[in-house]
Amino acid sequence: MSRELKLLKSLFSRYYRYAEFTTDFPRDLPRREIALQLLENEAMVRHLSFNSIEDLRKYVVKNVPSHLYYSTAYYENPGVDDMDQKGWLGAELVFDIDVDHIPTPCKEEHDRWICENCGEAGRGSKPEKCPKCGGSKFRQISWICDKCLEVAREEALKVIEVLDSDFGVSPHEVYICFSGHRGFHIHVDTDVIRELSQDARREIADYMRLIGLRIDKFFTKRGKRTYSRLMITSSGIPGRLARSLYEKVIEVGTQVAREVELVLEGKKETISRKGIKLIEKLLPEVLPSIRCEIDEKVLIDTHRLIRFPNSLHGKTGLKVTPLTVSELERFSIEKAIVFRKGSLRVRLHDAPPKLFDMNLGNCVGRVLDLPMYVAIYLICRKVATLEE
Amino acid sequence: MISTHIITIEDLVKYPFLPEATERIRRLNLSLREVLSLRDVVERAIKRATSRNYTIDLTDPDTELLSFYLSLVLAALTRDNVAIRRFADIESKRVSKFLQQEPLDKVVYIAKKAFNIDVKVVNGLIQVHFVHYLKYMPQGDLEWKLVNRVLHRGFVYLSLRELTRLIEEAYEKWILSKCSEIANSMIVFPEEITSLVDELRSKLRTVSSEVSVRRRRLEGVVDPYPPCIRKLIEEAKAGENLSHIARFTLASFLIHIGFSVDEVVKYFENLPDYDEKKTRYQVEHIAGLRGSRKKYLPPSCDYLRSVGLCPGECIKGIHHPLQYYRLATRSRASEGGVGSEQRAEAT
Repeated sequence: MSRELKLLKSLFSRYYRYAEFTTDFPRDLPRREIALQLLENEAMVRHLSFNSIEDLRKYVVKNVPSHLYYSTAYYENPGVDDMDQKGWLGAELVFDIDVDHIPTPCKEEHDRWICENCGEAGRGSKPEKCPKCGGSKFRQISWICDKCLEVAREEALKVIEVLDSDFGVSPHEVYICFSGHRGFHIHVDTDVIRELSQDARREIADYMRLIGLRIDKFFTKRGKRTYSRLMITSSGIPGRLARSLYEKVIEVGTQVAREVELVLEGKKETISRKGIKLIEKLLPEVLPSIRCEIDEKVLIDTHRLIRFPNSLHGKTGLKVTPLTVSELERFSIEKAIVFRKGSLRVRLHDAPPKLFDMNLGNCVGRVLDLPMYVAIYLICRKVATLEE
Repeated sequence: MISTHIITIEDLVKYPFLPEATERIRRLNLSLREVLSLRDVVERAIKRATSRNYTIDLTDPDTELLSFYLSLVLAALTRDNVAIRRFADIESKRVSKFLQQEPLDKVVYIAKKAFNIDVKVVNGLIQVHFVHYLKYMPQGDLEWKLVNRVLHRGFVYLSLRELTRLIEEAYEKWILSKCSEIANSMIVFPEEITSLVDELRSKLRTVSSEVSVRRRRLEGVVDPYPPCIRKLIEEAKAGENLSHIARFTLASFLIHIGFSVDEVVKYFENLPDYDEKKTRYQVEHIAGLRGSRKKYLPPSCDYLRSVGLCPGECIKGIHHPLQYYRLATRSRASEGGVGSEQRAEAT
């Protein structure tokens, strides 16, 4: 075992001895499958089950994981490895917001990709096809970044707002976690939600992402007249659409725009064909602000494994941090730092321009004394090695 | 005893799935053998199960109720999914017609009482909890997609007509689940029921289905593959780098119409990153031979449209690639000769 791995193992193990595992999140631990990836050899261990938090703790202190997961599903027999024999009882609904799936301008500054076929490299998110060889397999190098997290945080708040206003799931009923890397998880675990089928979950995913949205469904034709349900006072999607459209329409300033303004304000019931045309034209501009950028695969999957709250993310050494809504509102990465004490001398092989308020852009190749959590992050990312 | 003034004895006959109706039957305390000896009940059971035009005799509630429950048992025992689905379709359409004549409060009562649908009426507006809406909404219709509805604090706004449609779907699901309950029960059924079950099965098999209209429109279509699948096959042949969802759609479609894993794997040979072992592993997953043991369905037209895989060349009323295939093969089969030669054409 390398010295770096030995260090991580002892630090992680010590952390897990006192980690804040709670009985209310995740609920009903004995009904969950626990899975982990071992730090030592990266082997995935699945189909574990524990009757109590103390049993789980004992296990992870000894078998130190780089990643620790639990099943969003509840099972009759969570420890059985045949999925058919597990006895699915229901599953949480999890909204995963990961900045990997959201385009942010700063990715050009800090992310890179390397084609696994020809070695071609570039900045930002990986392209669909390699511009040089046409290959489609890439190694993506992405770093934690305040601006990216800010975008993810905004998306998470949007999801929480839609859950409340549209789905009637109040902020007190959701569990929020910083994922430990580049995003947030929002868990809904009420009795009615648990039984939702995959089809039902797909509908919810489409609702969040506005897939299949047909604006004409919010216009009703009666005789020669067309009535609009897009009003700034409306609930749900038509309301949000109307409010965003309203901001755009007042900038247009034509006579048709004035008519649409009145319709959106609810002062005029019917809408002209030209008015509808204008709305359809403005629509692409307003959709991004209404759409929630969630990972639909996670939402639809009723057998998903998800990071255990207060476990460590093996790629960053940061804590999967449970948050209240107000904590999310003022979230900074500081809150997820675990290894605060001390410093380490490391050699830097690669680094983002900026990391935890430190400028590391010109330090690649050098030996540095870094605060413990910065060094651990870089070691976890396999871009730093210990120096005497 | 009727528990509320809203529901009359006539209603129990119209809506035999209401708990009050089940209770009434239970009170009659008849064995299945005794029911089978009631000629009138048996005759009506076969008739109501197989005819869309059957008129219910509202003046003879017990005979009607018994005949409904007998038809349910008979349909279940056919253990024939096509027959059972057709039975469920005939029943639910009949109930839907009755519901359309009912006042709002009765429809709401039925939704709540029979199917536990969380429905409320506020200022004359009908609202259904989204969980129940999603459970019973008709599939493949953009009108019903949640994203095109007004959703407020957990409730979806519906018209009365739409609420009756939701009940129709709920009733259909109820029949299907009751049938599987009966078919899987340990009850020993009397010998004499067998001939009735056979009779019902063959009659249900010949009843015209609602899809026949759409099928006729597809007659003369040469290729039973929907345009989206045809396009994917061409692209795969041409060695284009298909997206994950495109590959999934093609593989799951082919598996579902009866291709073997080997045959499906061959379709991917020309893909730029083709790896026989990996492809086989993934196709086996889709075919339900690995992992969760779930045989995956290809995505619906709605979904394919949303990910840009729908060329938009289908006739109206198609909401799933498999629906297109089934209609097309059926219409061709009735003209004589489809099946293996069709498959050869595509490879």
